[in-house]
Amino acid sequence: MTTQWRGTRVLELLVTKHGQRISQLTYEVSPGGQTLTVAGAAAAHDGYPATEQLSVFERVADNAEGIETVEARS
Amino acid sequence: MSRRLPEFPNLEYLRKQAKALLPELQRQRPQSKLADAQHAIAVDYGFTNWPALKTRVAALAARCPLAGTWRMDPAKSRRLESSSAVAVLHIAVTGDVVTITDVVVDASGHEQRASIRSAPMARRTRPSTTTL
Repeated sequence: MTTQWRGTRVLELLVTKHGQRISQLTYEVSPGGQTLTVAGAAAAHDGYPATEQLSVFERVADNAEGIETVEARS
Repeated sequence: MSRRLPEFPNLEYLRKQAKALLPELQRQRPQSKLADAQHAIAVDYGFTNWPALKTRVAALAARCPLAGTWRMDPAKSRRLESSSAVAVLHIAVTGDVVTITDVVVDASGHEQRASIRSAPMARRTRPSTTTL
């Protein structure tokens, strides 16, 4: 997995497996910082179908609240 | 001070700078250790010591606009070939590591799984994915 900043508001995430690109996602925060757009695609792999997504998120907290809960359950 | 930290400094890069500097310091003072090189790097960036530099790097990373908790707006989103979607994203930036947690819900609104991906920025690493 590789992450790379494209400017200060855009993070690109690339996942590869055995040299093949599995997915590429771009996380872009709006200039005002209240909207996050996640765009990208994943190739079919390990029984999962290929997917494409364009998801728009609204900020509900400035920190990653709840992340400990999610990690504790994993 | 001769150097200035970037907006989102990479602690791993700073550590490598210190390692690269160490041989030069050891030529001047053979007893020099990595801590001496880290101290020299910190001073070069205008800090009193390495821990102060690390603290500042962490604070700058925490200001990253991507960090936070985000809830998906279904009306503005689309996802093909899948019945589930990420409902909530938790993004944390600690030091030079970004952690993205997807909370996925099924059609009935129940949480299905969360995948946690953590990667040092601009560096290759193995993905860490968890399925609930």
